[in-house]
Amino acid sequence: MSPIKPRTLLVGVTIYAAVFIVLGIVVNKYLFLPLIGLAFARPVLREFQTLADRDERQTLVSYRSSHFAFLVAMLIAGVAFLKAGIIDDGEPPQVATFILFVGLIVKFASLVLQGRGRRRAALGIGLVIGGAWLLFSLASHGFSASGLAESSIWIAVIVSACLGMRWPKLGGTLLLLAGLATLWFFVLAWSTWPDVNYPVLLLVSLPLTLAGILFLIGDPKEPAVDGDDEESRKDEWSRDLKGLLNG
Amino acid sequence: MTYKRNPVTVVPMREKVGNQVRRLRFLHGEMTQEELAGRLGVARQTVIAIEKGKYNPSVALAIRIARVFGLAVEEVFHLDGDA
Repeated sequence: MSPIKPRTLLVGVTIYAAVFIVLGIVVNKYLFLPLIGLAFARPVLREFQTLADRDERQTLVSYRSSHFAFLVAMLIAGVAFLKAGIIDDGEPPQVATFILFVGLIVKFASLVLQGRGRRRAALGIGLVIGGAWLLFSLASHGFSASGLAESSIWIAVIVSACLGMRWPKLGGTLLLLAGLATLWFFVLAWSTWPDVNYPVLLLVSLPLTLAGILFLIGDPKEPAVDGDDEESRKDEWSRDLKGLLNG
Repeated sequence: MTYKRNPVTVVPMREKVGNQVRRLRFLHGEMTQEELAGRLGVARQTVIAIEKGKYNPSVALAIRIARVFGLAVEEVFHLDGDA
């Protein structure tokens, strides 16, 4: 498929916007909602390489503008989160929690994925999610029987992520199963446990499933270089782990 | 065995790259920014940004620019502070 030309996209976007603005005014205000899609049109098309930028600087400018948008969104969500939690002394709004934590997880995963590869991204996700929920479990229940039972789940997640560095198929399968199991658990619990909310679901099931998939897909094979052999590759998992833990 | 997986080149982030693009355009028959942009396949704003030092081109684009003027990359681009 040939890339979409910027002018074609501009015409398409203008017609799309005009249609939904008119429908929003004339028919129903909810028809303004599809206009949100315009914010994602260019970046998504670019990622799938169906949009040809005129040149590299335009791509850089677009990426930087998305970066600033991310920072602003995080700032707003962070302020809403802190205001509700500290000033109003209440529960942070779900939507702020969702934007803040999912945004940060995606940012972290994307950073490691692009910079260090799929396996290390999967390890990072496993350690961050497992570690964060382990701390949360211990803080909520302490070292009581229920606390230790809950903590053991997150320890298993951390161990699976570490195993995945040496045996990607094993670690990936375990994380994928953990992701699907938590999804099944939360979906089943939904009707009987009203406190379960969708940010929790997405902050557990989604990252674990993603980490599992990343381990199973694995990194593309690197071309052999002098001094590289199977043994030194196998030894890398411990260095990778240490590298991630030491930042 | 000293195999290093991710060799990192430490480059000061704020090191400025200067260039002779504007001067070379005039030396090459007063080539316009539009013309140069057309030959490089980039937007005119990109040529303007490069000339003003507001944007450092990729290696590929730097090579293409140097080729337009029949020069080596280092004859067009230099690190500020280099002689």
